[in-house]
Amino acid sequence: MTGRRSADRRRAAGVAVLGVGLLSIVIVGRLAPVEAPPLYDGVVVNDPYRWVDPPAGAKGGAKGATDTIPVKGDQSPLLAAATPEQPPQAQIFATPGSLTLPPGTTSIGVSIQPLSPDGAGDGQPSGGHIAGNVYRMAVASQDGTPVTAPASALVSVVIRGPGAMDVGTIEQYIGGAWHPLKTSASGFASTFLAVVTSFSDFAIVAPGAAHSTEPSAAAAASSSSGANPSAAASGAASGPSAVPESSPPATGGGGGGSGSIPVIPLVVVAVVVLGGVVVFLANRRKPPPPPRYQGARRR
Amino acid sequence: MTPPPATSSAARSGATSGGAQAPWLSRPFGAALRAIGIALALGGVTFVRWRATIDGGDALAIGLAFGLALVVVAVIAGQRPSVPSARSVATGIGGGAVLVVLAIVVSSGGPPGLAAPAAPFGPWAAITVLVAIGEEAVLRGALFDAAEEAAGLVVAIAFTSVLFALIHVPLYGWHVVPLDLAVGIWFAGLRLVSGRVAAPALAHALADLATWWL
Repeated sequence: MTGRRSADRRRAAGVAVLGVGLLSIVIVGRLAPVEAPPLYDGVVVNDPYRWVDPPAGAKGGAKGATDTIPVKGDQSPLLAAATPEQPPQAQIFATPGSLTLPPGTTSIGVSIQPLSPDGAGDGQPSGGHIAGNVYRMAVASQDGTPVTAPASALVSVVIRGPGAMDVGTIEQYIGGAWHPLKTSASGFASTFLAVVTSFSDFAIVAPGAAHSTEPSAAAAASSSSGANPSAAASGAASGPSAVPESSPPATGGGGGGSGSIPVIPLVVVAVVVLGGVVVFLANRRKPPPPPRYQGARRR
Repeated sequence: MTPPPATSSAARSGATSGGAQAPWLSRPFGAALRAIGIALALGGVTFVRWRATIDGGDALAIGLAFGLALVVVAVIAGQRPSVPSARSVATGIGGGAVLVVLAIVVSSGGPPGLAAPAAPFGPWAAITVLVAIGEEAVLRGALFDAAEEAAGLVVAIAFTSVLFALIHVPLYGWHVVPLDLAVGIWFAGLRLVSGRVAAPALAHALADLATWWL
């Protein structure tokens, strides 16, 4: 009877907790929405970041994307272009009718090309360093006239950064300088989104100086003109001012070189064993007391 | 000999008094140690997963190792597989459906294709379910029990929900903490209502699987 009452009380408490949880989810969803999947976890399958000029231990082979989309009537078509990595490292989205087309447009060409920060203009962002590749995005009519968009159309570019990035700003290179755009984190895979009105070079700018996961950017910062991209690719010093941050990351350090992968199984085992020992010790019970003497047994 | 009356904590956990020496002192302490050990193991496994991910390891292999490690932690901590009751299954399906609907209705939604996992559905789904079950077996199972025994129901709910949110930070960033905290409370409610880990595990798995399409 007491057990049933206790179970009922727990169930009632559970209903109350469910109410609190539901209310919290709704409030959080309204106040601080996460723009990509409901992150209760799952398995996030990401390709490693692909660099134009890969640091030591990182992957190269960043790819671009091109597409030609026919235009029917006066309205621009749905535009969704993305580089082939998973998740894509650069994307452009425009809903139908959101682009301002030059008169007589019969098709629009879309191009997304990755660049090393070295090759993307002379200027460097003032508020931080370029994280990852620069992406040159172009959207133009069939005769090469650039296509623009009003801000209200919410045409967006999405760029993914290397590693685990929490903070970043998408900046656009216009008129010889980098300009920050209002950026929101997608909540997924170091991916950021910004609304744009024109297309040129875009990059994610992370605050502070470049660190060891981004030697290309560090090398670019240290050589503002005419730097050899291959120097940045190797992580080697490209000049006297080459900064230590551009050196290859140490194994097991904060950089993320592939050399630390073999120790992972050992660490997993160690952690599980350690946790198991603690749990075992905590669970260990005293042996039951010896039975009380209840008189001589009869044979 | 009549055993000494059980304390409220022990009564809540359904434990019986074992030794003759003040079990009401040693049991919560042991449970607290157990909770700390489980939390440390969870933190360690999460750290290793994060390191492997930023090192560019294969995501499915990392997910598989992560899920298996969680299951091992849960088993070592005393969780045992059992056939879920119909009530648990129904509660879990309902709880998962609510999360999916809320994700569609409440969240703003990302650009199409942004979250498409780079893997075939079958292996991805299997590992996703394994990870969800592993997380729930550890958090709403072993850790919830230990924390409740050590410090009561409210602390158990808060502790497991906070840890649930924190273990997602390395991969997704701090901005997911509010949502995952709220969802952690929801999962704790499912555990309490159903009395079993199966309900939050099922809800968790369903919500995660839905990310394939959302």
